[in-house]
Amino acid sequence: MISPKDILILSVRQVFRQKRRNLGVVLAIGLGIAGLIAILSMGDEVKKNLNRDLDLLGGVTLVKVSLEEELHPGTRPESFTPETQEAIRNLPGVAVLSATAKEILWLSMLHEQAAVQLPIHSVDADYWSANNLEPVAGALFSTQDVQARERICVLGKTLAETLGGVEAVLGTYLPVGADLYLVTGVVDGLQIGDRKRFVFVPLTTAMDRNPEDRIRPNRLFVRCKTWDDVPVVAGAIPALVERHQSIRYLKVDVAWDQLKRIIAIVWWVELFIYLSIGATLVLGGFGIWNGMMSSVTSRTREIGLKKAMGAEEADIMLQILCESVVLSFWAAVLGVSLGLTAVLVTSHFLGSTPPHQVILRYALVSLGFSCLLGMIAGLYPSLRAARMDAVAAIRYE
Amino acid sequence: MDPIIVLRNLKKLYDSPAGAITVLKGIDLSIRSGEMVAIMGPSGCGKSTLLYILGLLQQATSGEFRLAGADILRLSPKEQAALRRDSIGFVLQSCNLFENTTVYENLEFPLIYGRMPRSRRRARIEEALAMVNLSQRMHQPSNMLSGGEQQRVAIARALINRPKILLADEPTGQLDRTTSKHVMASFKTIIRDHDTAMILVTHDPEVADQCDRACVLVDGTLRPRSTPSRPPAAT
Repeated sequence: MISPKDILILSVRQVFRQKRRNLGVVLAIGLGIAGLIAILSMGDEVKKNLNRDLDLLGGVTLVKVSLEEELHPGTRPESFTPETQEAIRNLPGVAVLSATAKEILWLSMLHEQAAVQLPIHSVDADYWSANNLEPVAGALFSTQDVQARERICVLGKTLAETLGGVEAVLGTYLPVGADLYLVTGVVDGLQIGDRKRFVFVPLTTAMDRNPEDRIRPNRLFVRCKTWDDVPVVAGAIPALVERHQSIRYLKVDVAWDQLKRIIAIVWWVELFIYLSIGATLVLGGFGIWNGMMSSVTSRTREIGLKKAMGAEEADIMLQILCESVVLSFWAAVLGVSLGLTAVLVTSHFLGSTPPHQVILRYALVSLGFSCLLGMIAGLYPSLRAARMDAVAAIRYE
Repeated sequence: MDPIIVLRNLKKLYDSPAGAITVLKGIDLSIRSGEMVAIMGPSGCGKSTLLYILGLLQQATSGEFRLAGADILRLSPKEQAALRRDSIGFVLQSCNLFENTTVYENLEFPLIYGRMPRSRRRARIEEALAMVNLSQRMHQPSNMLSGGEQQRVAIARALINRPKILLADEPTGQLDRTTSKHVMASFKTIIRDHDTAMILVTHDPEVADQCDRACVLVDGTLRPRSTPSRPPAAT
């Protein structure tokens, strides 16, 4: 059998000297590989962004955990301990956890000579990201503000507009009970709903001014990284809470119906994409097979001559097989280049880049897969060439 | 000197729907090293079949075939391929060179199949091209050569492994008279210088006249040509 180096050189030379003939096949496989790398590498990043975007429609990755002891009159008020909160925050799949008070306080104030009832919601600094809320003016209070028990507040956008405008309310003071709270920001968001009319104050500040023990961290908003994490996180929470406190009044809410619908939609989209890539790669494989069959036919006389020179069946078979693999490898290199470019462009638009190891892994998998495709597609043509009768091949016109 | 090729009562039958067809009915032939033998005969008489049997590309049905002392009919296909690689060179009528290759690459193929190390190939290729006066064409694409030059490259390729036997099937069939003479002159020089036995199949009496002897294949048997240019060697 001839040396692997000679086989490789002969195959590379043959494939590249017929590059025009092979261009269609190379492009088909290359595009398939590029799509595969882009989708596999960016899958998690796209999923995160898709989660965020779809979440705006239904909040499906938000798990609401609360203590409902008020449904059982006479029971002692309960709250989530810091240990419980920390344990949930550390669960795999949890992106952010916000501790809030269920109790809404009401503030009466005069505005333009009319009495206005303002709902006051006590929240922590993670409340904004857990609910996808964004500042439209000023700043939302931070972890430091909450820890320092600052007397500051954030207004919902509609309320701010009622009180004089989103910019005008900044720096003014709002009388809450016996204290004045500095308005530092105005908040809005697609999921804000009725909370556009709310006043948000730091949970710690509200708890300090809470003689009746009505304000306490008894509702948690747990935002999961992806919808795949939601069932796992929701399922793990009761046992986790039980390790630190009683779960008699624990209630875990998930928007199961919306979650199932979104997962179903995405499943179909993913299936469609993978089928498209699969079809492209299979067509590419058929392209290689067809190209190699045509090449073997057009080189029948050449194969006969090589046998006359003393080439063994294995020499002929390995050369044709190697040409097929070189062709698909060349296509894969093109595909990996295109795929990496697609990953870079997508990363730029999504604002996040997958880890380099992930990209490298999928690039190597694609190269290996493509070589396998070339080997399978080239097997029959190479066997046909190897088993050709030398005399018939030499006489072939 | 012992003959390098010995055929005794060699027969070749083909199966067909109408029954077995006997193409070669008992060939007797001996050829010595350095001898140039022409085989003539009408189309379809079995000249090429005989040539392919001599080149170990086809198997005889019965008889005796000895090549350089080896009993060919007893060799396995792999052993036959090795013998073909080391001892036999082929030149065909046309389309001898491979597409998309240079002259150098064409000549390299037999050396690759002969497992010659890469480092030793260049010298051998240069030597072979010098034999046919084409050294200056070494790196030209083979399709850029004239018909005569292509055939000389094919001769160089057939001889590059220094074979004991050179087989040619109508090697001048598609060449003009002048080029044909040049090619035959190349053959004669090489045969003489390298002590190679050559058997060529031809329809052209002028080509046959330039050989040491000529035989005619008629009705499946080989006979000396009736008007040879030189006395035939003993068979």
